[in-house]
Amino acid sequence: MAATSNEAATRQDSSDPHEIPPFRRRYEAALANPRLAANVTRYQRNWRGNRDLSIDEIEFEGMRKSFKATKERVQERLDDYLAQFQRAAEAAGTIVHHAGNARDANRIALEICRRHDARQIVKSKSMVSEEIDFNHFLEGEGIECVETDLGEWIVQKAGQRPSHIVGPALHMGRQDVADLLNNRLQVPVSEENITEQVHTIRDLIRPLFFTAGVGMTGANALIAESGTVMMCTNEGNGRMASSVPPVHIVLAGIEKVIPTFDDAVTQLRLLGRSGTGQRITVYSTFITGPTPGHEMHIILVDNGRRKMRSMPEFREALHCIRCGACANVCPPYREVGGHVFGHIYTGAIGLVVTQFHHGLDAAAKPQSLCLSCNACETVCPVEIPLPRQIIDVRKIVVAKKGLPAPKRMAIAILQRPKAFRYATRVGSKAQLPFTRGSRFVRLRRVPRIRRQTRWRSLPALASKPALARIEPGIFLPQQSPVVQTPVAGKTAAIFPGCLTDRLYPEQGQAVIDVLRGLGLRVMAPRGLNCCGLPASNMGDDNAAKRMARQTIQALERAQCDFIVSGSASCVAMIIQDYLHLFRNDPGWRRRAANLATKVRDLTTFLVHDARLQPGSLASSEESDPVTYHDSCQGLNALGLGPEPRYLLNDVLGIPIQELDENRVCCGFGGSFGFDYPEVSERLMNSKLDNATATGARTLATDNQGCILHLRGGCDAGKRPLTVSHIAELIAEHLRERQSHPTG
Amino acid sequence: METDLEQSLVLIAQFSERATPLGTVVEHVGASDAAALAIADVVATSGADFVCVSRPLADRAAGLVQSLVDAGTRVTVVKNAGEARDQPVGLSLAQCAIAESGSVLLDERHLSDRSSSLMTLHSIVIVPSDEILPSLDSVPGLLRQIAGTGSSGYATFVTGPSRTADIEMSLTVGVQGPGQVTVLFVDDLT
Repeated sequence: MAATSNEAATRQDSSDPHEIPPFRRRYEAALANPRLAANVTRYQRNWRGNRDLSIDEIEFEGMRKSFKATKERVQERLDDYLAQFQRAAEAAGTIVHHAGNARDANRIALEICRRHDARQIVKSKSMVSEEIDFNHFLEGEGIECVETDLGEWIVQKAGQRPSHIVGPALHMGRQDVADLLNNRLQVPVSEENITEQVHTIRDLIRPLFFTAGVGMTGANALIAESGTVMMCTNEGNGRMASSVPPVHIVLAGIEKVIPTFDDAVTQLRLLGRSGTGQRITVYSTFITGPTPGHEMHIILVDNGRRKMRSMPEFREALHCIRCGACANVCPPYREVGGHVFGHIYTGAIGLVVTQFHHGLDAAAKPQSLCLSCNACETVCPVEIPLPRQIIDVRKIVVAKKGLPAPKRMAIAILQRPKAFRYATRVGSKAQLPFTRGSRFVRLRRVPRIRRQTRWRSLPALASKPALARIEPGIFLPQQSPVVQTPVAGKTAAIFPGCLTDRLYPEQGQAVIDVLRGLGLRVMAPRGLNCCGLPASNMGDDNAAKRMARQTIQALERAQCDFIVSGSASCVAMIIQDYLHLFRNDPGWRRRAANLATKVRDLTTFLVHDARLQPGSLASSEESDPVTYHDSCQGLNALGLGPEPRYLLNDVLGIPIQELDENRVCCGFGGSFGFDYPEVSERLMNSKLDNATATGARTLATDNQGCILHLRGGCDAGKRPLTVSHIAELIAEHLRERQSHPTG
Repeated sequence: METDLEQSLVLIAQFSERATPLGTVVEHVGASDAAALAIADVVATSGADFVCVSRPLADRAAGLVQSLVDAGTRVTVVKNAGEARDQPVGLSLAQCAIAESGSVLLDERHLSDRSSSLMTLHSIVIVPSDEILPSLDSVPGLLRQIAGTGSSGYATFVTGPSRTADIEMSLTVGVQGPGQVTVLFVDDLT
């Protein structure tokens, strides 16, 4: 039922004069706006600093797990909690309404306004009202809606929509606000003085609280035990809108219900910090029933939420407390803003929930802007598995709409080992006129692909893949260990990953050298192929499963103590994503889970299994400093941060010059650089600028995707920075030890 | 008793440490006459000669009101919400203060009671010194009390002046709530 009404709402929207422009147009407009990325970047950087400081004061991990558990409990017994809320709210004098879809919600509000002969509504911030296109509907019925949150007012007057859940106008700057006031609204204001701008807008809004017939607000939570609405604001407009007009309407999604005041306090602690880095918002208001002499209504909106609840893949998106943190760490969001990275709801959560509120078509393009860096999940105060959910949205989109031919072809080749081998063999010959003896294919001036190749040289295929250099299934001769570790004598199978195997065999060799240098018995399993990550990221579920099964079988056959990979991405895929991929297939899921216990990325293996000691592989000479680039899969998916630093700094004795914003993705994202080359290029350049600024001449990392991307950028931009895999640095130190043993 | 007082002092210091950076002015006085002087100062600085006082405060602290009058400050006990609209100074009574967050809890069911803290430009909030609590952990019980009275309730934790950073993350105080907030702890509120 919800889906049907959604479609109806979408149809209704499509005839809107303020219809959202097509995605491509939005994307191009965002790129062409020089101030947008600067404004969003400033916002993200400030937020990160403030948020991290405020998070340090609480036990964030424990608190978010506990609140997530609360939200899970609510979803299990949603109707019970909603009924409890309604009983208590009604006992306090609130009138509670239920709306199945956007149209119902709007009609209920309209009817209330008509009954009170209200011609004007003052609104505090409500994302649900954006979701149901409330203003547009009510204004069509002759009722003026005025946004009273400063940012909301700015975007409303500018004829836009909020670009961020918490900071609706963060994409705009003082010049934009001055332009709006001076030129469009004919209200004279300073072009430079933000305080004056704020106070001018404040004074324009102020009288309306006293003339409006209805005040509308959203709700941050609905507290079941007492029928209380919790509302958090900073400006005080929410308190005005809920106090002064004689009628107060609350618009709230049904997922906002929480059991008790204790839960409300946990939410307060998480929300302020995650939203704006505040311990608590300036006004945290608890409204139980109407102000005496006034009337209070609560409209509980479904509009696709029950459908979301019925789908296990997406149910956790209903835990969202609308803090906006996921947008604040999102690299593509930084470059294009929320009008592109999202639909009505923006940021990572927007990519997930849009299909339920506004249909799959609205979600189809924005979801493709996610480059799967996983940063959003690390800051989400309720641990929503957003990156995985976005991939699941992508899979639905791909199942319905298919993949473009180049991606289809790439996946077809990847999942057939023979075809893949043949293609790389042919490619390694065909590329020769372009490589001219270098490690790069430089296609900077080729007209039709310039957009993709101008800024990044492509990597040349290796003349001989890593796996073709060793006999599969047979242990390489064991070496005597250079240093004593608990792993000497154990067996290890290597999983190089496609990029290492076909592009950077020397990095695969480095991993083998390190393992052998520690006295392990090392082999390459038979039948290794791609782990399936590219197919999964492109949204081809079937191909991903097929490659996952191939990989599981090959790695099981190896029967080694450990499976070690120099690719953080492949490891994250195998030990984390396979479990979700096979969620409905218990047999394969069990096999994947068993396998996961043996699979390690190299840094984890060296620090936690081999337990390399400080100084144990230090060079006899002083080492030049390096800078370390955290790959997203290493940092955000595997939680590696201290490990590579310990290896470089403590074990190898190489000083690290940390690069600014080391948690922000370099912009690789698999095929992302081909789909959105402008965004990928900007992210890459800011990473390389930050790396260069450290003064280090070498950048080390643990992921071949980043290496491909950053080396390509260095080559195209003629930057004198060496990009190395951490295994190469370790292998180099180990070789030095082997040639000059120190006893 | 002494232990209670000492603990209040520690908590008020913590409160001040958290609230001051947000722009709240925190003062601590012994008795109502000292409080009246502090309030009269704020009123004079704002260029006014009167203060809007919420009815619950007037009921709870008749001595303070009298001291204000004695100090030459006119007192308007707000009966209609509109009386406080955009007036320079409002005076309200907090249920309690929370040291952890630098917040004061206002329990103001009636709009007329709410308007002194809601609509004025400078909100002065009086907190009896023994009504300061260490953390938000005590909040659920308080809110339960407020909501559980069988009638409606409107409670707000106020943490600093009204503010926005909607334009370029530039912090600006004084939007639709009071742009200045003074929290006045009074040991012996009469």
